[in-house]
Amino acid sequence: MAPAPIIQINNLSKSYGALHAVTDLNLEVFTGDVFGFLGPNGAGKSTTIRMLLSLIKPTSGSIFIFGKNLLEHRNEILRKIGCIIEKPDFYLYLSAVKNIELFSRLSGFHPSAKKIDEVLELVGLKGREKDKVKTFSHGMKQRLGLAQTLIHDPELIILDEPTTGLDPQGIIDVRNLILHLQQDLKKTIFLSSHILSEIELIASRMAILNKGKAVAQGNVTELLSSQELLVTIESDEVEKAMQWINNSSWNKNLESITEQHINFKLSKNEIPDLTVALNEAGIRYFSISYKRTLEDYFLKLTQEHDRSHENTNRRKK
Amino acid sequence: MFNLVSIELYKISRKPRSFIGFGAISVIVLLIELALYLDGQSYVQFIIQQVEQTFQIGGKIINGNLVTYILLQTLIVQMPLLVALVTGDLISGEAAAGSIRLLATKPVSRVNIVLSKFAAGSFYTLLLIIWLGLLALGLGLLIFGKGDLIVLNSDHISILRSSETLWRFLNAFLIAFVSLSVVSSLSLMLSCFTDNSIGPIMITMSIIILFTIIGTMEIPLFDVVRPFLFTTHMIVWRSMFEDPLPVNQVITSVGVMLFHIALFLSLAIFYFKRKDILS
Amino acid sequence: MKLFFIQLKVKHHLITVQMAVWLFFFFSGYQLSAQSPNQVISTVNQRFANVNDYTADVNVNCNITFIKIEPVNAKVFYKRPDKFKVKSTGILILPKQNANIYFSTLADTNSFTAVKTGEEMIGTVKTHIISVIPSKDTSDLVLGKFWIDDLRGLVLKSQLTTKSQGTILIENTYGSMSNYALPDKMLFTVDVGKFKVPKALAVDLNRSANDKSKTGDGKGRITLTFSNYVVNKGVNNEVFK
Repeated sequence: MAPAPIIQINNLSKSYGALHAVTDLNLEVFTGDVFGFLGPNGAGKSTTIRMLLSLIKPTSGSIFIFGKNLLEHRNEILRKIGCIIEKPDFYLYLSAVKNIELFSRLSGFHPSAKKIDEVLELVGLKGREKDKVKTFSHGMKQRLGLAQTLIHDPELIILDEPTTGLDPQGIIDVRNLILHLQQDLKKTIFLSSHILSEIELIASRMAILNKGKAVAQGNVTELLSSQELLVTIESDEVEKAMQWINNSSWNKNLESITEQHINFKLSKNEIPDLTVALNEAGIRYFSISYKRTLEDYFLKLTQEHDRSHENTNRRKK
Repeated sequence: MFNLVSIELYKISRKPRSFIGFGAISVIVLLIELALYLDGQSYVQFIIQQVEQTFQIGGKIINGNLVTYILLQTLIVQMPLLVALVTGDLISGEAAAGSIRLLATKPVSRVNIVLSKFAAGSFYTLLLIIWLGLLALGLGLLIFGKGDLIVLNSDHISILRSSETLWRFLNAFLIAFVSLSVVSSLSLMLSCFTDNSIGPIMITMSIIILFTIIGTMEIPLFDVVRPFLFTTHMIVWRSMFEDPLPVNQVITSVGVMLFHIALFLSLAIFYFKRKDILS
Repeated sequence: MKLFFIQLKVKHHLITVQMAVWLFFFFSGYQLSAQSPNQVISTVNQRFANVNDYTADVNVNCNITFIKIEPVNAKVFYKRPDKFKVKSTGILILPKQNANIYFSTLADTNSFTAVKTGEEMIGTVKTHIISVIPSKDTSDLVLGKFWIDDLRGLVLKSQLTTKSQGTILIENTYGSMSNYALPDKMLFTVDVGKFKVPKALAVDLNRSANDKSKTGDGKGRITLTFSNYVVNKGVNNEVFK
């Protein structure tokens, strides 16, 4: 029997008058997932997350978390959730420690000083415990937001753009933290992000939202493995290679050429075949690489959805 | 709930603006007490001039009780503003700062959020009143001593014996607390409607000023609405110094004010419960 | 017959005695009714001349339309010739004239002209009505009218008309201290006007016109009730500061 989802969204919609922010969304997140929630600006990601956290009332549909209806068991559910919604805003006139203490007390948790110190150290804020939050940079507030999310040891962690404002090291730290939470502490993480490469690295399942609707949903590897890659070959015999390509079946996969690079659109499984063919054709190359899978997939899906949406609107008119 | 209220009280105690009220009261009280200490006789002359045309007034007119009474009259305009300054910011201030997002995702009901903020705001109001009482009455009695209290009525002067002024003052302070709780509940309600902290404070004061103007202008059209305005009843604390005490009027006014508190709170809860938090 | 003449002689003696007594009282009365106003006033002055100083407890009770005040107890101090002080812990409303108004008014018989304007019974006591007109224009007193019981040398009633304070009626009741012309009770009655203050200053803002207190008879009354007189035992001058 399939495990019950930790988050189940059924036919969820939210409208503001004529504006449909989320339309008929269905989504499942399972225990232990790192669930990536993607979409362009205005797709409805934040609206969906706010509905998950009861900041916004749905126009229709239902949300079940931990198997319970959010409307009926709100407090019980929220007690087991830690979250960051957009940029984390704290009480600027209070210290980091005091903010953590106050918000965790609201979750029904009274952390010891030692526990607070541990969490602050985990997010890289050791030594700044007693400083007022108004002295913090944006990145430091983001780290404090993470600390606030984790302090009461929640089962489900919802993160809306958790790496915004962080430096490269900070982004890596957050990535490692998420992986640690998922793999070692068995947490379920629901996160939205614009940094698609990060999602690709850490998410196990994902959904892509566009104009309030889910355009794709499922296991990241499965979704992406069926997609074509952009394979780049670096060579000093581009002309010779072009002659060979034009006369071979690889012509249909040719994407573009530059002075020293030849780009193919291939599935991952086709890469070994290409290297064998190049070797047999005697074409010299320095390297073969591929990149940006999720970005391509994302852009392709959203553009397709936009076109379909426009056609639908035209037909209605 | 106690947990929530204590958190709200802590937040209020750490905001710099919370001390404006105490500071303002301190400055006003000390200034007026100093002025009356130096030249109170001239001020008192105004009160007793009609009586002194025909009689002479013996005894200690300027005393702690009279000074406190004068201070209460003076502060009647400032106190609602000092209260609204804090209570009007309780929800809208968090919305403006963004902390409302985190607060509203915590496992506490929105009803309890509003009620805890009202309770904390009320406690703050109570502290303001206690501070006023300590400075005005406590310091006043210390500097000026005890004595009978001369009170102006519209058509006569009452002289209340020193032995009965304390309970009158205590009850006046209590009624003033109820009056200011109307202000705090109104400003809290307005605070739910907006995401900026200045708006609720300004609107609260505008409403109070407008209703006060309607209440004091002798226009027959306003006679109909006057009994229903909370500002008409907010000044009933003065009736604690009437002799005999108009008990029915005091009870009625306190009842009207309690009704307004319940009304404003209910509207605040109703709106905040349904509000989409977008800030 | 002899007995008849003896009885007749006794009767004659009795009648003579009666006539003598009657004549005595008649002429006495005639002597009294013939006293000058100054002589009447001097009976009062003689009484009060016995008082160098006194202290007393006084209860001040006001019945004034526009003043609501409970009766208050105070202490009164007097020292010849004109030191007078009322002290209390509470606020009290007093007449502008002090309780020894007569003595300061009547003491110097050269400063006024006294005219007897009639007689009146106050209760069972016959009093002479003496009108006093100050000699000097600068005097605050315009006209003083005194109802004097010259037998006891006591002023039972007075009506004073002054430039600064209008007309006041003072009625006295005497008891054990009448020897010193110190009253047990003094009732001051003055004319009072209406009392008005700006509405914003009044506590009773919400009272309607119907609720307001009645206007009264336009008179204000203050009753001073004296007790525990201590006379001629010395009073420290510090008390009057």
